[in-house]
Amino acid sequence: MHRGMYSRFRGNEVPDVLVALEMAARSRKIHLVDLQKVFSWENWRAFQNVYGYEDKAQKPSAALDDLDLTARLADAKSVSRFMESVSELDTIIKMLNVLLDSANGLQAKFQFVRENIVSKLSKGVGSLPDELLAKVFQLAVWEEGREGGKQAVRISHVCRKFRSIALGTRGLWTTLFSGASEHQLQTFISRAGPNEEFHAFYHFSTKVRYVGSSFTSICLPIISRWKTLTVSQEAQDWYHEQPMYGGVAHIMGTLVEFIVGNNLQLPILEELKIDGSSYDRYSDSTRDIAGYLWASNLRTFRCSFFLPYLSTNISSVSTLVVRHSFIDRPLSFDFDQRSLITPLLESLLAMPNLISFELEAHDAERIARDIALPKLELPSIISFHLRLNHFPVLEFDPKGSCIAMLMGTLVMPSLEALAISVGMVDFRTYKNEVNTTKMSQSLDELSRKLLPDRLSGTAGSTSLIFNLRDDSYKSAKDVPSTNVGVFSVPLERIIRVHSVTLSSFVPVLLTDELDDGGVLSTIPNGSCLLRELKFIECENMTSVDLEYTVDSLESLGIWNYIERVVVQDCKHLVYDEVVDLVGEERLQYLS
Amino acid sequence: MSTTEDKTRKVKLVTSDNEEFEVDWEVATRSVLIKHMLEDIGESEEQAIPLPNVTANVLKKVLEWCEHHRKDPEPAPESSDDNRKRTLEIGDWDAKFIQVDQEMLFEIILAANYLDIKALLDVGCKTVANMIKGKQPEEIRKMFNIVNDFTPEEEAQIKKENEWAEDR
Repeated sequence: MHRGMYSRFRGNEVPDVLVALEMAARSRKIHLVDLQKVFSWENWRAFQNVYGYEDKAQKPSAALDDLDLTARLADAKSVSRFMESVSELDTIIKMLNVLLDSANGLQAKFQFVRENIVSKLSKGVGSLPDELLAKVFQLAVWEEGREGGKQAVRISHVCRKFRSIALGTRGLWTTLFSGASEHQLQTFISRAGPNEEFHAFYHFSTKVRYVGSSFTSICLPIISRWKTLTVSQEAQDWYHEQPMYGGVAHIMGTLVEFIVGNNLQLPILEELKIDGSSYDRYSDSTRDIAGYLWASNLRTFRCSFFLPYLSTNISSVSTLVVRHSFIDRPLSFDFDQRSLITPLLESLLAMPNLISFELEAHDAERIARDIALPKLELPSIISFHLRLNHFPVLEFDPKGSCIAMLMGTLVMPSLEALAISVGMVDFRTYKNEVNTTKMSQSLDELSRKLLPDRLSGTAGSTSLIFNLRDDSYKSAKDVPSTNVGVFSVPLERIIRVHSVTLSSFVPVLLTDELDDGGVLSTIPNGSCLLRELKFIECENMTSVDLEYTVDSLESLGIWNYIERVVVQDCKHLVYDEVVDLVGEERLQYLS
Repeated sequence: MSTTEDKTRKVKLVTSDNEEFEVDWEVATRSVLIKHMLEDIGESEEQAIPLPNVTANVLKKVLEWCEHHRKDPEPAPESSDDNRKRTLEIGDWDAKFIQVDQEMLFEIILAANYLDIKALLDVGCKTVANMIKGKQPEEIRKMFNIVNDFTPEEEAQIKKENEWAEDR
C-alpha cells in the first residue's frame, strides 16, 4: 500500500490534490490504492484550517454542524483562512469537473470501438455453431483421403468442444484404411454408428502379400456399407530392393476371392478406384471368378494402369475414367506383342450404359500390332474426354498407331460433348528449332484422326474443346516459339457442333481442306449447327490466322451462322484488329 | 426463375448497425434468405430487407462476393456423396477474396450461413478446413488460440489414442 504517500496534503490545497492524484495515477498498483481514505476530509488542509486539529489523537469531527462552525469563525484570521480554503475547494471542484467532463466525453467516444474490439476478441473459431464446425471438420477429413481417420483423431484431440463435436459427427469416422491398426479400425467402425456408409482404402504392401491382411475380416460386418473402394499400390512398396509388381492385381484377386467365398454383396458400392502403377505387370487374378457380380450398383469406375477382367456386364456403370498404357511394359522387349487396345474395348463392351468416358492414353503413339479391329458402337456415351500427355506428335502414325487404331474403332453416335487435350513433346530439334512443315502436317493428321468424322453425322453435338499445349521440359519452353507451324482444324468435322473452344500454343486455322486433299466447296442447307467459336489462350495466334479462318467460314456461308466469337487471353490478337474482322456484335473480348 | 424485370430491380438491405445498401436484385438473390424474403414482400420495391445478424462491414464484403458471382448458376441440391468428392480447392478469385483476418473470416462464414449463400459458405469452410488439415492438435490450438481444457483423465485417454493413430 502507498497509503503513506497520500496521508496528508501539504502547502497549497490545489497543487497538493493534483500531486496526490498524480502519485496515485503513477502507482503501478493503482487498483489497490484506497482513494476514499487518501481523500478523506481529515487529510484536507481546508478541513484542518477550519477545525484546527493537527493532532492525530484529537481528530476533528465531521459531525460538527454548520451552526457550531459559524461560531468557531469568530475572528478575522479564521474567516480569512476559511474563505481561502473555500476558494481553493471551488478551484479544485472546477478543475475536477472539467477533468470529469473531458474523461467522460473521451470514454463515450471510445466506447463503440472498445465494444467492437471486445466483441471481436471474444469470437474466433469458437464463434461458429457446432454444425458449421462439423462441416469444417468433415471437409478437412475428406481432403486427407485414406489418412482421413488420422485427421479425425487429431481434431478430436484439440479441446473438449472439438472432441465432443468430432465424436458426435459420425461421418468423420467413415474412412477405413487397411494400413490402420485393428484397434483403430474397430474404433472407427464403432464411432461411425450403425447407419453410416464407409469409404474403404485397401493398400498393397509387402505385409499384405506375405502375411496377409485382417482388413477384410475386420470390415466383414459392415462390408455391405462400403460406398467407395480405393485399391492402391505405390512405388514405396519395395521388397528385397525390388519394386513390388502386381500390387493392385493381388488385392483385387484377394478381395474378390473373399467376397465370393463368403457369398457377399456390396450393394451400395458406387465408386471403385484402382490405382495401379505404370510399371506394373498387366495381370489379373480375378479372371476365374469375375462372373460373380458383387457390386450391382457401381456407378463410377476409375482405373489407373489396371483394368480388371469383366466377364459380366456391369450395366450400372455410367462413368468410366481410365489412365491406360497401350503397352505392356515388362514385356516391352517383345516387339511382336499385341497392344493393350483389346482389354480397353472389352471393358467398354461390359458397360453398356456408359454415359461419360474419360481416357488418359499413355504410349498411344506406339504402333499397334493387333490385327484390324471391328468397329465398336457405343450408343450410350454422350461425353468423351481424351487426354494425350507427353505425346511425341512427330512420331504419330495416322494409320498404325494405337491411338489412331482406337479412334478408328470407336463409334459414339450419341456424343454431345467431346474434349481433347494433347500435351506435345519432342517436336523441337536439339537446337530448339521446329520443322514447321512437318509439325503442321503431323498436327493436321492428328486432328483429323482425333476428331471423329461421325461428329459431323450426329444429330448435333453441343460442344467440342480442343486443347493443344507444350509439354516439353521447361528449358525448352523458355525459348520463344513464334514459328511452330499451324494447327488446322477441318471444318467438315465441326460444323455440326454448336460450340467449339480452341486453346493452342500453335496458331489455329479452321480449314476447308478435306481428308483427300480436296476443298470443301459447299455445305448442305441447314446442316451447319456451329454458332459459337472460342479462342482461349491461343498465345501465338495472330490476326492473320483469324482472318484466314473468317475467310474460310465466309466462303462456305458458315460465317452467317456464327453468333458469338470469344477471344480470351490471346496476346497477339489485338482488340482493334479482332473487332475489324469479327464485328462488334459478335465479339466477346476478354483479356 | 428470374424475369428481365427482376434483373433491373433494386433491393434495399439494412444491416444490424442501420446502414442501408441498395443492390441489384440479381446480386441480392445470391442469398436464398433474401430471395425468399423478396418473394414474401412481392412487388413492394421500397420496403427494405432487415438483416439483424449482419453488420455493414461484413455485408459489404459478402456483397462483393455476390457481385462477382452474380451470373453463376444456381447450386444444385447436394448429397453427402457429392460432398465427399468435393476437394478443398478454391478458385483464384475466391482465394484472394477470402484472404482476410480470422475475425472477418468467421464473420463471413456466419453471414453466409445466415443469409443461406451455400457457395460462399463453402469457400469459408474450405478455408478453415485448409488451415486445419495435416496439423497436429497443438498446431491447431495455436492457430485458433484455443485452450487445451482436457482433464488429466481425458489427456490420458487421448495419449492412448495417439499411440494407435500416429504410430503406424
